Amino acid sequence: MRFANFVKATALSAIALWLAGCASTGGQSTSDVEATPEYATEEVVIETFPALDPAVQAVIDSGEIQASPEEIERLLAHKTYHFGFDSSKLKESDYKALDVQAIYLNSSEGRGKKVIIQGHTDERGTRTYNLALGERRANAVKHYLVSKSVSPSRIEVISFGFEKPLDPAHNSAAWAKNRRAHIVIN
Amino acid sequence: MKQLLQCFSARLSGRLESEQAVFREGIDRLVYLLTSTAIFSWFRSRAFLSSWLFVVLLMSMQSVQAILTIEVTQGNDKAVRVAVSPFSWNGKKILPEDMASVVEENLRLSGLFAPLPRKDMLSFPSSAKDVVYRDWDILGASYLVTGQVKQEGNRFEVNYQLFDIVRQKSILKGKVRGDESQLRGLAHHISDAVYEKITGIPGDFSTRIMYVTADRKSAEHTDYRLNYADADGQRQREILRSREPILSPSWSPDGSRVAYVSFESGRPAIFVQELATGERQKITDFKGLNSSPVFSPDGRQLALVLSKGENPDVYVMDLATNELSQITSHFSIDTEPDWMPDGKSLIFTSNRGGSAQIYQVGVNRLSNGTVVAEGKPKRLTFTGKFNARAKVFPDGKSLALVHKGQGATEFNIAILDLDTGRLRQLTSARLEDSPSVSPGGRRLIYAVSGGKNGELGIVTADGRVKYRLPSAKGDVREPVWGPSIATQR
Repeated sequence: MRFANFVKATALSAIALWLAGCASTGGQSTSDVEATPEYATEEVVIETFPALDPAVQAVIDSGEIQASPEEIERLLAHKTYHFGFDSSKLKESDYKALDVQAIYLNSSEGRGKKVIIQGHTDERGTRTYNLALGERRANAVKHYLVSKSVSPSRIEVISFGFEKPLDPAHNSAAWAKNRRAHIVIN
Repeated sequence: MKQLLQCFSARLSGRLESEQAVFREGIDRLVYLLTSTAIFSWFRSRAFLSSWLFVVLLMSMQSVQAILTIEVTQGNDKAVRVAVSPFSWNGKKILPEDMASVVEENLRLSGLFAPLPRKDMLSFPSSAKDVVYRDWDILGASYLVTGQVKQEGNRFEVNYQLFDIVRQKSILKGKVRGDESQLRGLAHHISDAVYEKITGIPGDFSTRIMYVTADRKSAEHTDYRLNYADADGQRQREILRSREPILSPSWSPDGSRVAYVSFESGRPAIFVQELATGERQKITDFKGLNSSPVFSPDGRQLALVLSKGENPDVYVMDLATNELSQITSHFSIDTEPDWMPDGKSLIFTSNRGGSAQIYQVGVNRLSNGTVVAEGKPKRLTFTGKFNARAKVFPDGKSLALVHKGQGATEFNIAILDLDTGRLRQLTSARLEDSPSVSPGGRRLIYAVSGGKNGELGIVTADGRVKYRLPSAKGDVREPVWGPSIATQR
């Protein structure tokens, strides 16, 4: 989706630049054109024009996964992984997204990035036990990434227990949302 | 009732001679308390000049608000009838604090007493000569408390007396002094004296509770505060304020310091803070968990939980040398330590058996200062699917813990008798956490959640009386009962 928008935006910029070119040949002084920030900005977009989001491109370039750019973009955006009650076992449906995260982190594009994995629980049990449980969940994600050759020294695990619920309601739907590990890459 | 009478007669026969001494000691303690308050103000002014950090911490400490209120949810119908006559007062204005009603409320919330409503009283005696025993007997009162308040300048002096209506005599007489801000404290002291005289058990009214409030403004913004207040929720003071979580506070045995976990840097770290000065020290900020600090009974060590990036294990830190000793070492979760009163063993929560249960391990302090585990951890709980966050009673004979039964969905406060292994569930809200036992072992405070806002609950250890301390704003949680103020050094 975002990819499609990007193509659209790039096309529009190209048209804008072409029009700008017309304007400058249309008798206006070059200094006027240069002083207009709009045109300068558009030019930058053209110069850095990438075919794809660099992260998506890096994953494709690795050759380790066969999937459409849209699919890879979706998997890269999938950074929150949910767990069962009192469980720190990853769900199989999350493996593919984690594989893509690992490919990205091992790519030339992602190699310099650090990873923070936050662990969270639902509100049941005790706060302090849940801090430990949240850490287990974050560690499950960490161990998976490490098994895919991401260096453990790049990964930091922080458990918040149930201090930071996504949904503060007291029902099973909220609990399911809150039992999660979340990765932040930067 | 019978138990009470037994207690009372045991006291009469065994402790009559020591009563005067005990009473004098109480006054000495109070004088000490008042002096230490003066020292506290001195520290406060010093700290104010020396560091902005202290300014933030202490200015907030001055904001004395009553944010917690009391709602009784279950009373005791077999309670002893006691009458607390309104205290007489020589001042021109109204007495700033209705001390008699503070005493009355304390006695009622202890679970053992049913105070006689003031409107039923036929007279308001304030000294022995005004007491008409027959009237009180007719009203069904077994005991009567009277008091006289005199003001001289800024100082208030309270003379109080306890009468046994059945035996028609005064059984306790005392005097306490303080300034206006201490009137509630004096009333708590009188409550302690009355309670102990009648039951033979020291009262726990001159104590404080500490707790965390969390005011969630939006998904991204919650204001966390660590506070302490009198055991009745009044006179709240702030210890720490943060936009990030604050957890597992713990009192030093003398009540002068507190330890807690703060996420203020985005990661958990354990701090120890001096209450009087606001001065604090970061104890640990290892990678991974820094959790559940709890002072040893002698106040020299801190049991805590670290994962150092891997498994959560229990450690002990020597506060003088900062030396860290690892006590448990297991691939499962080991957390929530607490000390046995003799300091020779720790209890903790572990899921090494497949579910969270309570274990106990001996600890031995070697001559070089390191602390080592002695023997293998022994499992203490066998009933239910989940037993966690246990706190040891002052006598070391039972544990208060969070319990989930087989097939149950609620997490409730229960007491485990360590001799018999019997588990007794005390409360029945949906989600309860963080039990903490009063210094005398008579009452427990705990957190209740699962409703609109988190509240504090108090229950007597016999389960007879329950009440709630809801917060006026946001959640209140992580309560911990402090030591008796009179024992502060």
